[in-house]
Amino acid sequence: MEYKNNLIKITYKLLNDILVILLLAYALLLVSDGLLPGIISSHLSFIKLTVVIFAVLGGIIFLGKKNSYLYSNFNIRQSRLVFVLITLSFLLIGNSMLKFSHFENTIITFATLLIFYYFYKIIFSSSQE
Amino acid sequence: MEKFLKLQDKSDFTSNVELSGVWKKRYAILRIALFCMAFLAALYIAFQVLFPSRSFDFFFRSAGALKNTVIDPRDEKNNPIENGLVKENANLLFDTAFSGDFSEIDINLILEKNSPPIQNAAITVRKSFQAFFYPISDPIGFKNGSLIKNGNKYLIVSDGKLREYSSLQLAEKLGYTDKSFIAVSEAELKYNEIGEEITGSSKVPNGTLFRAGDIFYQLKNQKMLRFVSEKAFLTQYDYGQAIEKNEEFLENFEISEELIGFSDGTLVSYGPSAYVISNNKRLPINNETTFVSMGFLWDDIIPADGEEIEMHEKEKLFNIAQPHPNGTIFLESDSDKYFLINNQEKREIIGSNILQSYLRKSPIVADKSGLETAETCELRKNMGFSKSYSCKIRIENFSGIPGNDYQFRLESDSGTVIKEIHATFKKNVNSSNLIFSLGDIKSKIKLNYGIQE
Repeated sequence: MEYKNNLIKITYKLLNDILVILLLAYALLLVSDGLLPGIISSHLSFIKLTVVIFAVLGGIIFLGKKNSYLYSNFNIRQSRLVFVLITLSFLLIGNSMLKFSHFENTIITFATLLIFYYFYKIIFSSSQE
Repeated sequence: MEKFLKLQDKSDFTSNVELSGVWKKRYAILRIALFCMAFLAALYIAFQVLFPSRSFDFFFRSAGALKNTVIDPRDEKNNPIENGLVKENANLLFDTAFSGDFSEIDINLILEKNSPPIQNAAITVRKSFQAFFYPISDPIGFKNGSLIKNGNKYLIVSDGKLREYSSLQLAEKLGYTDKSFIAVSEAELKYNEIGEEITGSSKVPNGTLFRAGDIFYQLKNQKMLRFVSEKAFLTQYDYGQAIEKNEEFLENFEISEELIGFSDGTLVSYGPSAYVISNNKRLPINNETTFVSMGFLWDDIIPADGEEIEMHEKEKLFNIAQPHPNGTIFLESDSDKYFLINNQEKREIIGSNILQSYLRKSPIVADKSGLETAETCELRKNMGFSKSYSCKIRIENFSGIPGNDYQFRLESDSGTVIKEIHATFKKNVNSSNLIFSLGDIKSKIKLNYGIQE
């Protein structure tokens, strides 16, 4: 029984490590393909990678819930990860906007900021409740 | 080991799930193995990006499928190979087309279960342009409508034949001058058939060009056909070849509703699209890679307006897998010979004046070495029960040869029934290919962001 429990724990921990590696790889590959469209996507399918990430995530959630592996409270506002994610998002979005005109970019930026603001309100207003 | 385990504790993403004793060590070892595998995976992806390979396949059981990227498996007489059946002592030919240089090709043929085994089979490959592999036919003469003189003879090419005006005065009566005719050598006259002499009682010969104001016409079957524009006219003839006439003169002839557009082989643009004209139709060029790999030049593109483009019926997309269309002129650079592509044949253009009657834009530069340089490998049966035969061909010698097409020829003593053809082009892993790939990536990034070299 203890052997089985430890095996499940190791599997859970390794799945988390795999998830981190996959997410880091995904970000790097996305940036590379943003710089030169097709350089990665002609060799590797992003859809397949996404499916693998979701499969790993599914495995983590399943094992976590079944064995009641709980996390300590995570304060998103104080996390440096958020800053990295927002910077990366703006870089990718900005890169894809280079081919648009100034007027189109203004509309897209305004609409994007509005959408991000409302997402922020929805996420943090529900967490405050 | 203790220090390592402490380091691992600090980088543990799931510190809420604790392990103890030997399980901690096992987890550490498995984690190292995982990071090593991730590193190897990253190396593999980098390898695929920096040393890409290209695969081309053909499946005879689904010969019409889009997944077939090998071009046109056929025999020596250009008959398509049905159901993979290659007869005894017959050859199989096929092509692959792409842009880029590679170091070697892995060829793999898979036979049908009931097929006799391949015996003494070799595959030979050459590189050039698909159309440049066409057989050479009779040399071509002057273009229809050309005005030429040799000594005291003044001639027009009418319906492909040389027709002599009985005198210069007769030609002048029509509106020509001595300067309208280009002086040519006797040798250049032999490539056109001789037609009827033009006398005072003759009708105006077909092929004669006229200009009324800004509108150009050509006589065809004794009907006046209008050129869609001056631009279209100038892709076919020189300005001075058209006799200036008034509308009154043209009323003597039936004006046809048919229009004459750009000459075959002309590159035109309309909006963001580029087209090549062939058999009076326009073929949209699918992308920049096709355009550049075909040897076309950007400066040769003529911007067309709505009327000019619409008179050429739109055909299917012109992609890298297709041969150059009719009207294309090739320059064989190592011999300075010119060839016109017409109906899957190469017709040599012998004589600078004959060439000038056709050449209105830059020719496609090819090399005779493409036809003469060949690499061969012998097919050997792969281990196992499957009827699979393979060999490798080294193609580093082909890197300087212009062209985007590799033509393969299978020569075998025995008949066979082929199920599948696979050709994989690979690059050697070496520093020069690495530097080339990095340089190529850098250039493409600069091009993507509009950074000038």
